[in-house]
Amino acid sequence: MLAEVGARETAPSFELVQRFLADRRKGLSGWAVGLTAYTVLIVSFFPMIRDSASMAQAIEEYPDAMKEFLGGEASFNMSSGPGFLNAELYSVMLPILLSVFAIGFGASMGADQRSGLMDLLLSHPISRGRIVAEKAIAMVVGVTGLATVVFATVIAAGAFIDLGISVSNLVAATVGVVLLVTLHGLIAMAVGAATGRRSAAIGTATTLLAAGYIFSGLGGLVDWLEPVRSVSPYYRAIGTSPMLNGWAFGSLVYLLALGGALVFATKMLFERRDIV
Amino acid sequence: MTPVVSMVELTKSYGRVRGIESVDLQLNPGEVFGFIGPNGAGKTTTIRLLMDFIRPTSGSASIFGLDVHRSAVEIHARVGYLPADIALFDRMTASDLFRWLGRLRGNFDPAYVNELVERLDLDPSRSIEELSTGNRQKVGVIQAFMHRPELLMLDEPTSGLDPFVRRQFRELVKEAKRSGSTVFLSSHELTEVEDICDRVGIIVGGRMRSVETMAVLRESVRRHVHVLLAPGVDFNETKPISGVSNLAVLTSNNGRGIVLEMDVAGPLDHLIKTLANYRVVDLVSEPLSLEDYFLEAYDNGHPGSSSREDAQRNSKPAAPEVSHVG
Repeated sequence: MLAEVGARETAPSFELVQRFLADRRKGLSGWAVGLTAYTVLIVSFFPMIRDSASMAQAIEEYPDAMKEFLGGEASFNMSSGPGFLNAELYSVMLPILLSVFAIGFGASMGADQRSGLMDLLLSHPISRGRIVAEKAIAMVVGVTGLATVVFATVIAAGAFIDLGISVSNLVAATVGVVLLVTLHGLIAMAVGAATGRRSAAIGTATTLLAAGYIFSGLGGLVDWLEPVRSVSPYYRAIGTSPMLNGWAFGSLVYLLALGGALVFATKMLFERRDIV
Repeated sequence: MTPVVSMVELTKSYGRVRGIESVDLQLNPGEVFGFIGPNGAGKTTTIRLLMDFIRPTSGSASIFGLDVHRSAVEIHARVGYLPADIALFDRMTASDLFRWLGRLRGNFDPAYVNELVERLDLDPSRSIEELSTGNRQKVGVIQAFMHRPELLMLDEPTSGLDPFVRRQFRELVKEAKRSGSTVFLSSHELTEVEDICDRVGIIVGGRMRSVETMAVLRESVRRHVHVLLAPGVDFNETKPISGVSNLAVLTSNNGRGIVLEMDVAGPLDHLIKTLANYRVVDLVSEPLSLEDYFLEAYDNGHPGSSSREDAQRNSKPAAPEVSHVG
């Protein structure tokens, strides 16, 4: 009676990716609306700030150490479109906002073990490796989608307000943010897979993100921290200010390699894990 | 004939508590096996080991002759699993969930799913988060049965179901058996599963106490029986009554009559026929709780050991005696 089993080995159809994203449909649309509104708000301030002498003066008077920490004067020069977008959106706020989404998504790798949802998936003909792979893909799709919404909003706003940005640099900055955020989402996923704990996953990923930010800034100030800075994902992705300086392909390769290593580690950890 | 499920000295330790110790068990094709024991005895641990959710400390397990870990994906394509407390994608409707799970398996029979939905009286158009515990359990039962698996692995399947649905569930199990499937189901109540099981295995404290066919087990079930005889009756039996032990004859302190207290193994037939000679006011027969019963069976098998902790590892008690006359 149960002989018609043979045709089951079909090409990957990404059923899990669809489900993971569909399950967050409401959350994702909320994020998209919020990010669009925030981007429009920030960009609409640009003409006012660009022309404000007191703002330029205030920045001029920042201590040198602070300027260096923030990545050099050009990267937060409010009178240029790229400097403004970098300072107000791409260097801090966007990575933080998207990380909230990505780290929460990655941490579900732990939460789903506790809730029993992982049992439902694993009782079907699905390997643990496939769950890890499809969860990572879903995360990349989600983060990329949200970052694209912001990208499109900036481009659209550029039709009304002269931001003077290069599209190529904006893409480079967007890719940097996506890679940074996804990387920390994957850290949350690895910790979640290994421990089954949502809180440990969120805590570890958030701490590492903050540490990367701090080392990226301090690396320009303290000599002996400079080698540390170069391994900081934040520095590699954003600290080099791709919005102003364009693509840094070496850094992209580094971030992609880290991401790949994390996915592999997550698969190994999850395959060993007792799901209780 | 390859056993459908085979466990060899399967052990899972969690420090000093819980887990299972050296469980050996083979399930034959087409049998319905009841895995019975009190809560915390190791039933869920055993099932999770078989499903490859957790890994054994030692020993091995196979399903369809395949290693449960190395061939997990292949095995799961042929298994229907119902956990004790099922988690579902709460934002889907039940019918969307069934369709999606069917796609995961590459095996979906809408007509059969509709039949199951109707038989269990589930509204599949509601979002799962709106469903009551009982209705969620129905969703769990349907997703386990809907692909007509060769092996059903059901952990406390009837918990949370009302009597009507329990009856439907038993029918489903019987149908699965008729079509050649093997069923492994756990319960903490023997009475809940006794009419569908061919064999029953008892697990207490992580160890398999005994494996019996249902027929043998029925014979050996002990009951505690209270009988109230009319006042003034002279209860005077010199011959032992078959199956009765620990008989105590008391005079009811409020003068309602004579009280008999006893344990009975096997059928009550002989006791009832003996009592027919007296004026019986009341009779209460209560099965010993399963745990009591099997702890007793275990102690009978090991007269020297007074507690479970004293028992040697890997020792297995003899079958409970069928006619234990006191």
